[in-house]
Amino acid sequence: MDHPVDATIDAKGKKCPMPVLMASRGLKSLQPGQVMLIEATDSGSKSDIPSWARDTGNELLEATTVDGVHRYLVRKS
Amino acid sequence: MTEAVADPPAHPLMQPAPPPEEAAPEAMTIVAWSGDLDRIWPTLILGSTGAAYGMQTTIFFTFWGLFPLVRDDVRITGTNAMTKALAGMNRPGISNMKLSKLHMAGAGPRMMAKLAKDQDVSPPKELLEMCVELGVNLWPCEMTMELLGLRPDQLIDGVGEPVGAATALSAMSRSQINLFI
Repeated sequence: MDHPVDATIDAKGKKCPMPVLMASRGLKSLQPGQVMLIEATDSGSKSDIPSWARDTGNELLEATTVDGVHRYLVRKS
Repeated sequence: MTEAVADPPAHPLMQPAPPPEEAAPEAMTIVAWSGDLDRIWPTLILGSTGAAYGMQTTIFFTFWGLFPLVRDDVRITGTNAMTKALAGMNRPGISNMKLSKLHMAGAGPRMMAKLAKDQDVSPPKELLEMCVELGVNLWPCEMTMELLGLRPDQLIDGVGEPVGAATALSAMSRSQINLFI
């Protein structure tokens, strides 16, 4: 799936809870419908980012891992 | 005669998550009673994450928990000999907190800071700043501030007005998550 990305959050190297905090901060500057890419290397993000996206009512479009980097696409609702 | 066999109930872990309006708590209140590094650190992790979750998040700081809110450049707090001596023996500031175990005269926290730095774990000071930025209510307890000789102007920017126990309880009564750390 290809989605146009409106903002990218680079949380690579950061440990819990920073990827979620950075994602939350990044999402504030987006408009509803816009898509944010979050890149993280923390394994905890594999459960944290999907939970956070679901519980905040936003949509996790995609979660992939490429070369040890977890990539999440979240659409702001 | 044949009977329809009912499907076995799904294992709780296999059931789909409830819709967000049921799943996501709306408010969390943490009572930060301890100034220990190994307690205030998880308090700030949970507090900042709560705000990132969109929860109305409040941390009520009381007793030893007040000292991490004092600005790092304030060496001595206190309004009389006893409360000044207290600050002398219990250095205020988020960067000066002690470990509850293995403190080893300050070697423990230095090792912990090095481990955190090497592994890119955010230190308490950065998490406290994130709490301010993400809009966590940081409420110092008015009575214990006076008891321990702390003034509002000695606290970091972003801390709310000192409040009483009733205000804290009011927040807790509206919170789905209440923690005493």
